[in-house]
Amino acid sequence: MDEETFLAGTTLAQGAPGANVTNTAVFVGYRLAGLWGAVVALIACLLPPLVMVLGLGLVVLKISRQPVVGRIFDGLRAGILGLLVYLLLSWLRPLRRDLKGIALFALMLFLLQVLKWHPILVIACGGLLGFLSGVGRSGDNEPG
Amino acid sequence: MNPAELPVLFWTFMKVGLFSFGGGYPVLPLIATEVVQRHHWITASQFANLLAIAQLVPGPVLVNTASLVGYQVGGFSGALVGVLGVVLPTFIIMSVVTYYYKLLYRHSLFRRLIRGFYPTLVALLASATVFFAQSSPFSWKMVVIAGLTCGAMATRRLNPFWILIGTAVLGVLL
Repeated sequence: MDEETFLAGTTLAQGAPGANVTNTAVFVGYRLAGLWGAVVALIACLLPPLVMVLGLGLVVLKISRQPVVGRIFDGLRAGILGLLVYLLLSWLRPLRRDLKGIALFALMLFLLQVLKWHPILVIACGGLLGFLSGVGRSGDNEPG
Repeated sequence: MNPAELPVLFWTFMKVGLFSFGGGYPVLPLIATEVVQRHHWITASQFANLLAIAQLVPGPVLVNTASLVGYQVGGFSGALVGVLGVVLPTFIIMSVVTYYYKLLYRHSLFRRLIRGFYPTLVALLASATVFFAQSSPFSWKMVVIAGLTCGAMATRRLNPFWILIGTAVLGVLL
């Protein structure tokens, strides 16, 4: 596989639904060995995390009654919150000079948080509105 | 759990997979809506804990979340069903995309579609952040650790994994 094909694959993997890693695995597997290649690549990509998650899950569930574990999770949850805040700030940056984009962002957040629309409905409406209005045509505002 | 609920779990995570644009985090509000609010399989606090594990363990957050929530709901078969559900739609879509990749990659409509989605993804991420902030009772300890994490990420020199290990240590010490 040449570099250009791989670049196309990663771009498409980001645009399609699903985790980037598994999407890229499907792309590479499919290009190299057809549909079965894609299946094999996907399974190979899923097995290690699945085994680790389940192993860890069992251990954590067993010891989750200990007060120390509760404190560890307090820390981790605050850490994830910090991670999300950081991610949110860096994702908001490309919207700075994109008035249409900011308006769409605000509208979708309003639908989600205030009107409590189902996220699937918000994704469908937001995607369609963004597509039709040609949001962010000047800048390159793909998530980093 | 009742084995009759496994198909419901599968269907739920298939929806999640189908709408998981932008990777793991923007899809969190969808998972929370379905798993916590609609089916009451786990509480918001449990969900936040599972997410912390999903982030720590190697592998995509989306897949890890599916297997952990699945495990919590229905043991090993639940985990398997959750992962298969979340992966199946993306596998089909990505196979079709790969088949037509030359056509799609060159086409400006595809790029327009990705750009058009972006503000909605950011809104979903903001919603995920709010959900996460609300999943634990307010405490200054949480604010301090979250602030430190945000600052550590901003340096761009530290690996998120080690930052999170640091937050776990702080959680015990503070």
